[in-house]
Amino acid sequence: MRAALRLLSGHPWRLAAAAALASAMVLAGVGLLSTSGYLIARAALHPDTVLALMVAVTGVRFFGLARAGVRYAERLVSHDLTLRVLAALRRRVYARLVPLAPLTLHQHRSADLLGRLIADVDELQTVVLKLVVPMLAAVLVAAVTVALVALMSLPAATVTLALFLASGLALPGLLALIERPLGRREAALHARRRVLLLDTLQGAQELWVYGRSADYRARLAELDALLGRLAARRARLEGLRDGAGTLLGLAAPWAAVVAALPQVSSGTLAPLLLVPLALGVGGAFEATAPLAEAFERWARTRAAAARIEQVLGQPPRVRDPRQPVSPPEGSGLRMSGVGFDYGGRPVLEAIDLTVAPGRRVAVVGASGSGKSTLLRLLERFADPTCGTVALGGIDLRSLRQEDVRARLGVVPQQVTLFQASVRANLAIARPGAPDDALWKALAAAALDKRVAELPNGLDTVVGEHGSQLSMGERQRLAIARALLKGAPLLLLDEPTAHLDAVTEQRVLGTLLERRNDRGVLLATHRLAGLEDVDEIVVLDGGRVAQRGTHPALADEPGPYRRFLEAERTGLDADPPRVPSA
Amino acid sequence: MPGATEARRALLARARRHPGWLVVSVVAGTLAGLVAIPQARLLTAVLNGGFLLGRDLPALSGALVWLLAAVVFRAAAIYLSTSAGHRAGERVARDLRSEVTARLLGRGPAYLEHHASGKLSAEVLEGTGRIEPYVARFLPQAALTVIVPVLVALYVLHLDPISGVILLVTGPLVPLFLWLLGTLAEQRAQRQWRALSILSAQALDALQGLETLRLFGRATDHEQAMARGGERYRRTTLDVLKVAFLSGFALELLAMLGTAMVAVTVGLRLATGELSFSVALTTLLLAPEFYLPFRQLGAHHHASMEGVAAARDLLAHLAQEAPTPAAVAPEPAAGTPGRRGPPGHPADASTGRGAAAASTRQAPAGPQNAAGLRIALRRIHARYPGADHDALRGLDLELGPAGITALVGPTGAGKSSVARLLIGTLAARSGTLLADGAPVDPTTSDRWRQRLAFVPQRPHLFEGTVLDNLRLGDPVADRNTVVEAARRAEADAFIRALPQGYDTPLGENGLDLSGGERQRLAIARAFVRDAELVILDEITAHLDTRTEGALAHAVKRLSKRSTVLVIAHRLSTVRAADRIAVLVDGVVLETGRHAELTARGGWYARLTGAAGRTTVEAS
Repeated sequence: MRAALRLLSGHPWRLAAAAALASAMVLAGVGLLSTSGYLIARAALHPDTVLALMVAVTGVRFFGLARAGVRYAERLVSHDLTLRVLAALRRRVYARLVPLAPLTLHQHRSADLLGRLIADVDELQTVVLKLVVPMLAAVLVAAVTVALVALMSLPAATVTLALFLASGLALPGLLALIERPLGRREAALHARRRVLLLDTLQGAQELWVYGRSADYRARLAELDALLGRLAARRARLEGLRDGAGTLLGLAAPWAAVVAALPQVSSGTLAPLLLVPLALGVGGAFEATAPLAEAFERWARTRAAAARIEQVLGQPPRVRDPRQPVSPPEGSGLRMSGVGFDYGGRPVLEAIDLTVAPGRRVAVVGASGSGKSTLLRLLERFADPTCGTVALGGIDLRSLRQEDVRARLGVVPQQVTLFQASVRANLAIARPGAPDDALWKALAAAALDKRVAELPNGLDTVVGEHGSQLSMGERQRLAIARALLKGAPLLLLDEPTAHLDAVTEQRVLGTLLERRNDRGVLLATHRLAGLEDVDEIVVLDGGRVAQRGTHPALADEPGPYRRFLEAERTGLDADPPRVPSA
Repeated sequence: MPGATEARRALLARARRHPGWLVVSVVAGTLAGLVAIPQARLLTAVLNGGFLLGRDLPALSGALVWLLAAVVFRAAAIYLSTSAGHRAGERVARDLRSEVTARLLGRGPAYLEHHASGKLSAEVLEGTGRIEPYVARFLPQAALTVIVPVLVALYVLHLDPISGVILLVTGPLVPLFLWLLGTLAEQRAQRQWRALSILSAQALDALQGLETLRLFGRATDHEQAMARGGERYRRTTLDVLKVAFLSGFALELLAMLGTAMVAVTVGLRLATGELSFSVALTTLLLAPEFYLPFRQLGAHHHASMEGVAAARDLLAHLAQEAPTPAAVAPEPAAGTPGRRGPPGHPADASTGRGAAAASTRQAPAGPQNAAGLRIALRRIHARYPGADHDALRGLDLELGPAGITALVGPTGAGKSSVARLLIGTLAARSGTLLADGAPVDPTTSDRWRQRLAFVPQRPHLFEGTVLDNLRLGDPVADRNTVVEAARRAEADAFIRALPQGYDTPLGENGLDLSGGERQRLAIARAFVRDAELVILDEITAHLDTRTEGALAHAVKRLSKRSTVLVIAHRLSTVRAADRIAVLVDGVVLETGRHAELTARGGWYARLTGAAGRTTVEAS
């Protein structure tokens, strides 16, 4: 929260301008009303010349025009400021998020998390528009109005000030206080309903069989009823806000007149001034109207800020050492005795593994056996709980992260493409790479023909909303990207999961080719294409259960043979894979 | 995707269903607007008295008291108007929520299980909150904008025709200008909104792609790109807003100039003696009141756009969820004999409704069969609604008593259909289902389901602790019973190893379990339930040795007391099964044990790849 406000201080002039314009807008309205009142009052005295009135007339027209124009300007300036704050906020969030990614090892949860994070950042930026600017404007308007009234009548000024405080501070404060428990309860109930609904929808079959469907539906209905009751309370709160606000705003002219009348009677105040006083004071309370809503938002905004802090405040899993060692010559990665715990549960234990240029290693195991975790450790996204991971003989923890990753070309399990051209997506691996290097990488990934068919070839926009690439195509693009990098080590996590058998064979063949300048670590739960690799490491229950070459392992009784058998039978219910487009 | 007008119409229609609160809101709002008239008159009287007539405070006290009363009354009317509006808005939002929920739930458990609608729906439902302001604020205000200004203008017309005319001429100009500006700006705005959404999506892109950027060492580069992107976003948004705010400007200008015009003409005529002070002042006080509803409507415009957008999403979703002929098995159709209650609301054990209304073709009540059910499926034909061919075509199958029957077959053979038939989400068109010799209709019989347990491929983890999840089938089972059942299911040790053991929270906000772990839990559920028939759909993924072993042991133990039907995907499972049934195109073609079926060299042999290969030694 403080961060957002601090961001505002980066634009003091704009903020001042926004506040000034906002108050000018209200004051123009006050001006319009009081000048009109003065005009009428003066006219009622039947002056000899119309000239006396002309000033007032001009004033009225001026204030009328000014108000509309100032309002337009204020809206633009406020929104401009808000957008700047938003951009700065996003940059800050991004910068703090970088060392934390990948946040969790469960992809589906992290997508959800990001969505909420973005929503919370958006919530935070509205603090400018809805809270800070109105508050400053209200203070300015109150100050000016009270000062002007004071020139006419001190008692009236006192009353006006009191009502300003009531309408701008006391009422919003009171409302916010009442709202807080209500808002919290509403949020909690909505969260419960959401979870309950998900359970009812996703667990429908089991609920049906176990006879609990009616039970869950009843609970949903119960929650709805509770929410309905809360809604009634909220409706009354909103009504109170509008009603009390109106009351104070309309009572102001009344109170000002009551306070000023004795002075008129005693002759210390010109009777003429009663009229502009009454009209003008009423107009000033337009400034305090948005404050009640603003205070209410305050609670929501603080909650959003707290949630953001919770995510960003986590300590990064890995840090660069204070005095990093310069990167080693060799590019061999070795895991020795590595163990890793996650969420209080052991995921890997006593892992020994080596991959170096010229060697091709496959890590095989059931889903959830820790293969992806293993890769994360090699990529230095996490440090092992025990044991060491070394590059060229140097512990990763003594090296800079970017030096380590510079040696790695990675195809992760979840492919992320950016909403940009194919070229841009590839260029991430090697910026400025010439087109024929790009085509070469695409060819190795069996994607060159497909890209050539695309409407704009390499310049076609892909990603979420771009031209729709199939899962298999996205995966091959990620493979091409990794190959383009030309790094000495390739780390592949289920790279061919979405490819049909023929394409898989071709791509794997290219990836697993023996090359002196390149080492490959392939994590997979499918055994196709592993006949030739130098070593297969079989993970079972987080430990290395077997290691060896394919022919050796196929002969031993063990998990490897079990996997082999499973793959050879047709009992697997996966639908036949359609050849990728 | 329905258009904005369609969405507005739909919202209006739903608001009309419960018009009460909306009417209250409009009536109260009208009263508040009309009170402006006596309020203006009273203030005029006070000011006239104090200014021109030289009256003092006590003399004016009567008028002042009435003025204060008018003010209080007006505030109270606004309180009522606003709270009634919000009640109406909340009602509409709640109705829409129920509608979407009911539509989803009505599609039946089998459909819901395999449809990704769950998460999406939850999100769409959260969007109903944004509809509220449209009904709560915008709709009543729209009505008031038609009613109040007319009444105020008529009064002013009666007081001072010239001012009245000014108001009545400028008033309609407001919507006219707004419409003009709106249509002129529309296209430009559309183009820019699209650019905007691309830019904002790119921001999301960057956050989601952080891991990739780090892997390729591009994270810091991207920060600069972000800065540039942010700048572009700001400029593009402002361009859009410059046009969007013009309508607000026009509205404000008209209102201000209208008031100014009234003030000036009134003032000048007052100076020449044509008008009295009272009339002049009252007219001046009422001019802003005339424009106020227009300006308030403008203020709610943004909320209304959001509401319409949310409504469009919701309506699109409802349209998607509309029952189509190609739907997967829904809740049992109304036509099934012996069924009571509307479709989509199956009779359930807890309601007791079904038990009473269940057809006479029920499984016999009484103590559970110690040796597990003997099930016979004879010449079963079953078809999914809207399908053009049968899923099961004269299926004959025997299960139990006790023991494991493995069901195998190529994809699409109908294995899941057999499961659905047994649990009652697919109705048989013909044929009989006998349990221990007595006919049963799983689609209607609660009693039947009480004897069942079902382990899907990916069991759902419900919100609650491990203990709560295990008790799904028997919510009142005590802890010891549950722990004992878990032990028999070989799940006890694994559960105790979890961070909080049996009290570990699971579900959306709790621990996530892998596929194998979920199935171990679900099998433990079956033990807690002490079911007589257990249907298990095996996971296709590889499992680590320990999990695989534990699952196999648990199922074996289960099969000692219960009849177990496994939709098998593992060689080890079929090898250990007491009986294997090969299902092809909705019919059982072969039954027997592993060795004999392999030797036969038919479907089974082909499926297991055993044909033409030497047998592999048991692992």
